[in-house]
Amino acid sequence: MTNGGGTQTLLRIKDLQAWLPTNRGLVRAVDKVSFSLNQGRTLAIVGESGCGKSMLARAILGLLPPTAIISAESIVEFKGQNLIKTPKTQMRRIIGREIALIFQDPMTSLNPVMKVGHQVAEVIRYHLRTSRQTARKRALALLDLVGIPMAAHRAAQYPHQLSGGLRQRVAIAIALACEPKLLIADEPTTALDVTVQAAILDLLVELQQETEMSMILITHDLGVVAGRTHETAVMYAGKIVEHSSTSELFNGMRMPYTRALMEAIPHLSNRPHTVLKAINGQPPDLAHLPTGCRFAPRCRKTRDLCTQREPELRDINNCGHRLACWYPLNRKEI
Amino acid sequence: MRKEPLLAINDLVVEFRIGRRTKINAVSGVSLDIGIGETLGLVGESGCGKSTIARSIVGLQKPTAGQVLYKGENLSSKTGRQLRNIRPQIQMIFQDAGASLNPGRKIGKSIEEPLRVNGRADRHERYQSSYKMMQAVGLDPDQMYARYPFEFSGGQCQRVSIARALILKPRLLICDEPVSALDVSVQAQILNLLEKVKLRFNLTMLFISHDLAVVKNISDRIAVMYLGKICEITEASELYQSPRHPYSKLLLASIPEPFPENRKNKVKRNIRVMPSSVCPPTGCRFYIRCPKAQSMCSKVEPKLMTSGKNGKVACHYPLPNTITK
Amino acid sequence: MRLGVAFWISLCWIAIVVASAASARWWAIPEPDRMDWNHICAAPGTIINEVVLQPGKEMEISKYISLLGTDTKGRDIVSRIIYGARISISIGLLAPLIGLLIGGLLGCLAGFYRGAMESSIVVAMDIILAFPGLILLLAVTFYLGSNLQNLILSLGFLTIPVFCRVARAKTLALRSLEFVQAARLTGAGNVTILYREIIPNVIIPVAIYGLVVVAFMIMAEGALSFLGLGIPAPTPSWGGMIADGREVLDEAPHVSLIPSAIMFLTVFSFNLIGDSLRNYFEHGKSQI
Repeated sequence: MTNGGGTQTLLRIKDLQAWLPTNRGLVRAVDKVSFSLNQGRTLAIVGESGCGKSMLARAILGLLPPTAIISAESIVEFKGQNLIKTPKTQMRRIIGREIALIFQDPMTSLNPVMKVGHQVAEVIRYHLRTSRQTARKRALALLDLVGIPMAAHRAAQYPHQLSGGLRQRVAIAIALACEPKLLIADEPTTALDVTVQAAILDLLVELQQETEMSMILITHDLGVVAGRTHETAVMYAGKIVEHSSTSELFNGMRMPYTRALMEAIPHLSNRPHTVLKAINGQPPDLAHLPTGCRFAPRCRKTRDLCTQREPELRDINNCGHRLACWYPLNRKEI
Repeated sequence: MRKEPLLAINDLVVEFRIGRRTKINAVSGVSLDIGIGETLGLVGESGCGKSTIARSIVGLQKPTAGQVLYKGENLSSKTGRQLRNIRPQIQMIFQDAGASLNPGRKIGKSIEEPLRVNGRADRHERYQSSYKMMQAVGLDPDQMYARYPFEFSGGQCQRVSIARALILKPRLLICDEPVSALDVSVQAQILNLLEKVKLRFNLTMLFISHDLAVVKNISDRIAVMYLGKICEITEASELYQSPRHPYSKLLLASIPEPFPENRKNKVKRNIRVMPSSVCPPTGCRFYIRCPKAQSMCSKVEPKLMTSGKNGKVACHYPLPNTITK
Repeated sequence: MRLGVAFWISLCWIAIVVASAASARWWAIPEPDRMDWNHICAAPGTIINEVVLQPGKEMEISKYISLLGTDTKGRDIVSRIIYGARISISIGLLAPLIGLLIGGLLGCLAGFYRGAMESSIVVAMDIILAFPGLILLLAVTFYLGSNLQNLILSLGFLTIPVFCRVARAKTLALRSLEFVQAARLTGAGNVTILYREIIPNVIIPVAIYGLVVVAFMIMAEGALSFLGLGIPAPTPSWGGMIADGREVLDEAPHVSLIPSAIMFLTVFSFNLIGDSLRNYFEHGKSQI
């Protein structure tokens, strides 16, 4: 895993807060999230369903529902430009061109009545204003690049004629069409088979390394991140609870939640009928959050302070490993 | 000395017709059996026919050929009345738990519904059964009996689904990708629950999934399927230590292993060509993707043959058995 | 999502219309077909003096205020509106009911069983849709007489295809969901599945859609009466009243405009209620 170059900050998020009014109450989907991403680096955001990771992606791109509120202190800077204050017309030039997005379900993210080759070419023509032949040639090249066999034949097909894995590759081709600086992949492999998952993830990593673009990979499966991203941030109930370089994280998970996520994954080396270490209970309702640490009700190491005050995200050893826990796991427990 | 299996499938063939010309060979001659109290895992990629097998067993799909034998009796030769006694003994849970519940019905009532349809109990008894079953699957009946499916998460809906499947006290439970749509953390909860209810209610299980790690944890034996045919059947631990079929090895290599040092079995994946079930190739169906394919493989289809102590593999050149005794 | 103010106001209006139509007999209003030739086309708010002659008693003069005036034949408009509401509401509610019951059931059967049953039902519906409805109404009126019952039956017949379509679409969407398969596993037969799983989930959306059809039927009745094809005079009906006032639109516009306004408010109310209910039920079923 090569070390991504570039010290230039591409994306800077500071104190991002996104709230959604619902009839249950005010849902704090994203609650003071801060991180930076440099050019050429990849970040994985890991968390269970409902932790706010998809909302985070949408908040960055300004794709939240119209009733959503972004607080005034939130800063989302892309190449120095404040995306929150950018008007929609300008955002349309940025999304798809500088920042690309891949969704979870390729069936609903592709236009069902348009041939896939045409969908890729359309993006190229819209953003890069090329001729139809140039766009078509480039589209075919992209389909081949993402590993679609017989690209010319497949380009003339409709999404429903392709398997899930192929459709997701098309979505990746569309995302890469204009050579974006940042790619946000929101659970790109969750709807796919395990065998295809590995292929798609490896493809993303390979393309990222070739083009030096930055990537944010959002997933609920901690297992897929190892060896694939530079940094990992773990989200829980709208906040980042642990953030460090991926190798450091897997060598030493200090936050009990991260540890618990890791232990819940069934390992091939387990003996059959091993009882899995599931995390009891469920994530909290984002409209009615508990006082103190949000993970405290489900944590095995809860102590008094945990239910009284919420821990802040702090740098624990001054090399970029940030943690939000009063009693992080020590060396013996890891 | 093997006892008679609870469920046996002999040469099952299921073909679908789409339009007038296209025929899809979903299942092409599958034979397997499940012993009493055993959990058989059935694993394979999307479209390999595993769900079709499940539906054929429970009667949602009519087989084109072959037999499904439950307790030694052929189900397709039974009349409707005889089936009415047998069908409740075989139940199934689905992948999309939310969609498998009637959206306009309270979940407590959904759990009672099988009793109601079969006329087995009066209103009070049904409520009691539903109440107890909800507790058995880890739901709080006082809070949740009168709620609707849309108020629940995927994991909770799956618990309701399990409760409903178990209320008729079945002998055989078929799980069709029950955790594939769930988060990893919830997946662990549901898998633990399934193990628990299996012991408590003396179930025999068929567990279908595309994720080998999940299947391996819960199964005694595992059958690997590819494009409508069984490649390999073996004990769960043996499959991991020494896969005999090249496709099994490929599946193992695809599991996202969190610790890169543990990533063994790194196989060069050939993703360039993908065959379809509309036009299955002659010879071995895995031929095109197989790194060990040779000329005989494209001409002659390998048969399922015994290998090792308890296993079977369908390959002309199976991988060597590396388990040391 | 709550039912908004618009829903409650509309509901009140409909309640007023239905209640007054039902209780018309007890209101202190003149008979709807009593013609007062001294006060034709009287403007709303006119004070009318009446001479009441009773044998053996003195002559009395009673005054009353005609709230909405009178029409071209001196008949009180308020009274005719209220009695006319009976016709409009009866047709408006009963004709779609026929469509809902028959068309809804056929749609469910078509969507659930598919195959030959679906094809034949769909073809039958297409035939009804293609057939010019006006001709059918004329034929029924001519051969069987033009009365309320025939009008309800023939209009109801014409709404069957619309309900059938909606019910079939909903049934098709539901039957592919796993819960129908799950019901089969419990041993339920086709009929049980239809009436325990499919129909309860289809009937609410179809009924809510039906409210829009109700609005349409009231308008249809109005149009038919206007053309002279509806309930014949002297029975008051809103469409007939509008037709009556056509000649005097210059001098006494209120004769046409008042029934028009009442019909507009009623139709609009039904539409609003239908929309609000649909939003309410659909929103409740979905998640964030």
